[in-house]
Amino acid sequence: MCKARVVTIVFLFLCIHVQAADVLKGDENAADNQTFSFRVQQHELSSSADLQGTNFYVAAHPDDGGADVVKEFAVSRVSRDTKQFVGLTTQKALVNLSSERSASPLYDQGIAFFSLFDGANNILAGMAERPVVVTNADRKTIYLINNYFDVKNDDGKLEKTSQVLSADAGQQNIPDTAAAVTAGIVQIQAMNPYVFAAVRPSAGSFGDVGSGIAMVMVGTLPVAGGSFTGPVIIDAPTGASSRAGGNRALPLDVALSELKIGSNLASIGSVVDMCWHANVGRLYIALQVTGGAAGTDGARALLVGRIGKDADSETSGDNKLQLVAIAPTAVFDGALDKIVGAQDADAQVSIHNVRPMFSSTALPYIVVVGGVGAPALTKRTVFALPIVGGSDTREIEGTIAAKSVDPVDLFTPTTVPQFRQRVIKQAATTVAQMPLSTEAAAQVGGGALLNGDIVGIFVHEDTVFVSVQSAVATQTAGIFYSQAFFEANGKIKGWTTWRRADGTLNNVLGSALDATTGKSYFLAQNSAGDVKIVKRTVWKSGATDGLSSVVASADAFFPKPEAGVQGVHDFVVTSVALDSATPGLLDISLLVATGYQKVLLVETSTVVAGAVVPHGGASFGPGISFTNGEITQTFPVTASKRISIEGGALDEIGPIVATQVARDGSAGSNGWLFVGGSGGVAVLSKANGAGWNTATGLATNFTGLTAGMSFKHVGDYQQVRKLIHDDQYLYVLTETQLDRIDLTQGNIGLGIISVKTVAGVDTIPGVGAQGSLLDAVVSEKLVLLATSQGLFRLANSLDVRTVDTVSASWELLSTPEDIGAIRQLIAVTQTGRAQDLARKSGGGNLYAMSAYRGKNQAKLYRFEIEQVVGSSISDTTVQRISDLYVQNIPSYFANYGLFRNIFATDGALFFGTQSQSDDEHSVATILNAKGGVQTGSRFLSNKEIPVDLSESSLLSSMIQSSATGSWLLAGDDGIRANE
Amino acid sequence: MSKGDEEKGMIALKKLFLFSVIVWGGWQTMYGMNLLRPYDTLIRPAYTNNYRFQVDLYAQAGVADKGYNADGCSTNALRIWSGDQDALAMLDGFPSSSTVGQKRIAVDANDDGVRGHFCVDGDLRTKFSGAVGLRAFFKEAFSISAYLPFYAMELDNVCWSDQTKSVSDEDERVKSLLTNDFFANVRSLGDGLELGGWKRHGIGDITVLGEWFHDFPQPKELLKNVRINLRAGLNLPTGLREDEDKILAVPFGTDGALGLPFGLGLDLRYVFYLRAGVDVQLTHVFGNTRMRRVRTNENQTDFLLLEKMNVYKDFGLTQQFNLYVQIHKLIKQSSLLVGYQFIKHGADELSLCANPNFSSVVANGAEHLKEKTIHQIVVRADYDIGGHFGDHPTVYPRVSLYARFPFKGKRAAVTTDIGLTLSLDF
Repeated sequence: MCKARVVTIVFLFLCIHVQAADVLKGDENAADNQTFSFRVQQHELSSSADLQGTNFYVAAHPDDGGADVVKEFAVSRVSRDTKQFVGLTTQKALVNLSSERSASPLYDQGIAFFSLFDGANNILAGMAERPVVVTNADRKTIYLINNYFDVKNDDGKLEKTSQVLSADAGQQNIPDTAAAVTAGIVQIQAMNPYVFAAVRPSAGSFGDVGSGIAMVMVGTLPVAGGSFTGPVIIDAPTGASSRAGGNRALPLDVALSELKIGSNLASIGSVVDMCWHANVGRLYIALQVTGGAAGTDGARALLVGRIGKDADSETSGDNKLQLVAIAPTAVFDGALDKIVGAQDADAQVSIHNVRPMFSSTALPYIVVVGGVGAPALTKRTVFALPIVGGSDTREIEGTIAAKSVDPVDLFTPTTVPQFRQRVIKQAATTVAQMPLSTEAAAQVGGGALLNGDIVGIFVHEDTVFVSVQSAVATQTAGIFYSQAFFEANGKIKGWTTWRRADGTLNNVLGSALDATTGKSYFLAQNSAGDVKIVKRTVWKSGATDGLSSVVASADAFFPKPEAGVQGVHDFVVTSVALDSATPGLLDISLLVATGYQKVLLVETSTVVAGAVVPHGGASFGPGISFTNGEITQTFPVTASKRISIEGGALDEIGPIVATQVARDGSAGSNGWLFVGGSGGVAVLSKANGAGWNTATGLATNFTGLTAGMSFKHVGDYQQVRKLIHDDQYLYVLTETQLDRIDLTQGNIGLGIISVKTVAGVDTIPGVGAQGSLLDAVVSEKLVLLATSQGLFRLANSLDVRTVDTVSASWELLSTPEDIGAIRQLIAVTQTGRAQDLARKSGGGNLYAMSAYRGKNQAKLYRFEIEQVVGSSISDTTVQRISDLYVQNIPSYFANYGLFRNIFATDGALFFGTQSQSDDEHSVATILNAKGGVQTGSRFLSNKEIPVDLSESSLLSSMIQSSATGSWLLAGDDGIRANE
Repeated sequence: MSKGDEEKGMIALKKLFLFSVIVWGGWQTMYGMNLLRPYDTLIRPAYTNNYRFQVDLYAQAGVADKGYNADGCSTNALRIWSGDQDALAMLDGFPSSSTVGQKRIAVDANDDGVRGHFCVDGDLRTKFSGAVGLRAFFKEAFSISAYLPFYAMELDNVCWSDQTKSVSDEDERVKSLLTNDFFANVRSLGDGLELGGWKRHGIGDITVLGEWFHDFPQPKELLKNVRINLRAGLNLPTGLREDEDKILAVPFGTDGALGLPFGLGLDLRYVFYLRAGVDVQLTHVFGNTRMRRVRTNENQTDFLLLEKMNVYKDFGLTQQFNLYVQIHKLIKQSSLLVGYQFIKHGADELSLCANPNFSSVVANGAEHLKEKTIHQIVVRADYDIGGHFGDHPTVYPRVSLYARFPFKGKRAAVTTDIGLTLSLDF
């Protein structure tokens, strides 16, 4: 009988107390649940090696200064451990040479441009990281907030004061290429010891002759009565500290040969972006350009800046800036698919943003938002481009690399050559060598983001995050990410389709990820459309506008005395364009939580007018509960997105850890829900064994579930570890065997099954009766088996859909320097479904965690998987990605140093969890290393996520909800969500 | 002493040596148990140098058993090293490809505090202890003695109670693959380790002691005499060895090692029949190498050590301190002694003879290797039967009835005993 349970009341009560992402506190005049009383725009997270993620900086919107509202919060920061922003632009400051406090030029200003200067090892004493800003009111001056400290005020009391230094101590403003004062700075980028500024000419627009890149360098400048140590303007074309006639900017205008193809450019837009790529030591300048009118004309929208001498033999020019073409004109052939440039009449190329990327395979890339086309039409595409590194020719370093050339590994020149970096040394010099916008390797997100224009972007490890402030019709805004997957040689092979991140549906201007805590910061719009809110996700019980009601349901339904939540499974509908829907589901995504004799179904998103719309907050509706393992009402009955089922055949299953939605073939008419655990497998079916009608279900509001459906025992299984559905088969993985059940034969819904055993511990060489099967991934013909004796794949030319224990043979995959057992497999696929690992054209990657409690160890391996659809399994189907530490010694990707029972990753963070061990409660950690987690990273550490697991003794699952992008950590103490 | 006496003394010494060779007599016991120690100054019969020889017979029975854990709290004897036994940790520390390692992987469960834990109870009984001793006196102030103990012990009513719940997948796996048939699994994985009860009996280590004692009469109002005794000797490893395939099957001695006991005693005799004394005895045991069970993971509990290997054991020093007061022959030939005894055995240390798979540091963290202490009260009533036989009878018998009441300790399984000694001086 269907009944509204007290549980519902309980969780609704709990909802009142759950916390969403923390709304951080800013100025005291901010409205409730807002951070600031004014708008903010520029933002940046600490990225220096020692302070990575420590502070998050925001700056006041350019137009909001000067009204006595912004005050000391023109630039402010919040640290990881607090919720309160601290204003760095105090009313009085120590300005330039003055030892007395005076009115600060930054107080109450709107900030036009902002960049963080890493102060490490700089000759100028000050903060470890120092904001560099250009105010909207004065776009000709660059200010450095060098310090922020306590000084005694006139009353003798300590008061926070900033030290503000302006370039050349304010004696000279930022110059254009003719040494005249610029009409305005259009972008800045700091990189110790330099600050680069894209400047307009003294009269005219950016792009006109006189525009360029000015340089400021922290140095010492003689001034009247002494010297000034601080940001000083240098002559960018020569690098000289002073030049007769004044220091200049380096020309960057429509006539620049490194930009134009053929005739001069028609124009350069005034929106400029810059970034510094530390791994290749190059500055990148992203532009919006329009080429000449002739068909042979064209334009390039990306420039590479190089600092220093052309050759070691030169005696001067250490600091001179040179601009290098991102690719030679020869690579642009008239096809409009070269991303950073095009040859065509009036060709428009718009690169809105450029960001550095250093992949976990240690290869440098640049990631750009934009492409060939008008600015307004290119704001939803993101591309990743390989760049030259380690080249013997300085001029081509950092330019687009030849896409077909294999990377080479660089090692330290030591007795034991240690891995340093992986590089492609050859630049793209022909059309054939250029990455194209149509190629999977370049298409971040697998194509354009459907949700709206990208207004913010950052890259962390292998993952690109973007934010959308204004969603297009039917779509929702938020934060989205795409994860790269790789070829065996380390080059990017493809990208996952855009997925939602951080569990927010807010309109987001920009975001940042603290890779130490896993928390994200984001700038959100208020109801008036103003970006006045800064949030930070928190590992708790979910956001009130997110999954809090789901978390509350799970916590109440799976009580701790019954070991809480023992499994969380996500069945995706990542994108309507990619055929990524889970077979058996109709335009919905489903989250299934399992526990002791219980199952909780949650519809987490639905497809509306072609858009995947995640549910959050109240849209989950009231929960509906069923007992006796039977559904007693035909759906839909209400707008409920949550169903809990217990009892009946579920009692025989006991602890339920596995679940699967399945369909009897791609054209099958039956959809079933299977669950598995210690006591076997059960299926949710009608009295006659039929499943729900796949023509109409399982659809939103659980349409398709009908009264009389109940769980029924299937087969005679024990200790079920995993259920996998692929093609028309259900694969059942137990401790000792992998079975294939044909869903089109017999009557699975009544437990009448046609089963073949694919693998048994006795039939896999080296595993033996003492061994066990731990995990499996099935994708079309291919099956990968994680066992207590290593990782195996089905042998060449075989097909998991037809083999049995007699005909199957197995290949042991190399996991050098492993621990023996492979505990967990994580498939990285374009669609988010593990079954697509070898189905889609780009294949995917497979992470394998080798872990062994008995020695308290865990290591990660990864493999490139090729598509097997239309071909046979061969030697190249599964290849280990070339991870190593020492030359010629293949090794693992990363070592946790401790046992981990669960591994999870989105490509940006490499999580590991450990359930209670002895007296230590459960922990969840993130792998961390200075400079990132890459091939050859030697000094990895485990940073504990700030999530309360003090009462947890079991962590059973860690997944990311495909609908909301929230990380979910489940265990006996319920679910923690990062939202 | 006359020359004739000296010759008699030498002859006696030779006889004693021969006796020692034929019938070893002495004491050594497992540390952490208050087994019979025949030359314990609180229970050994009184002696004088008026006779050449003394033969001692000891018989002792345990009447109540208990244990003390590492915190000094009273507990069942099977919980002196840990409150429960951890079947999951038992599987840790082995190479993953080993049989035990494969089992660990298959079980795949974490320790939530109860999963894979067993509460173990049982009765560890020292049913009977006995000893025979022979002591020869010569040159007025010297004696040489030999002692041979023997013991009968029993562990029964052993109960392993599985604490694992049945609500999670891990629970079910642990039960199914490990604890449901735990004894058989442990026997198989642990190379014959048996978790049930046992009965054992056999001789202990022989101890040979040389002793010097001398009376220093005191012309004082209260203190009348001071007797000092010094002793040193040898423990010979004749005792039943530890059975590493049974739990708590302790050695009846030093587990095959040679020991060197040495001690110093001070007896004070006051007026009004009052005596008091203090005695210190230290025993050094030389290390030895033999097959032992070792800990392979820091969380392992001491009954569930699956790895058995040849290891060198460096024994800690055993210290015994006695204090007593005695009312000596207040009523005819009867005396009554009340004593306090403190025994402390220092930590033993294992050296894993170049086994690359396991760590000596981990092995040495085992609870059963750590320091052990016992505190007990001894009450002894003596009756000099020989006092009724005239001034200097040919044979001078004594009989004593004693009881030992252990009341505190650390990592110790102790028994409240009642014993009887009979000595014959001749």
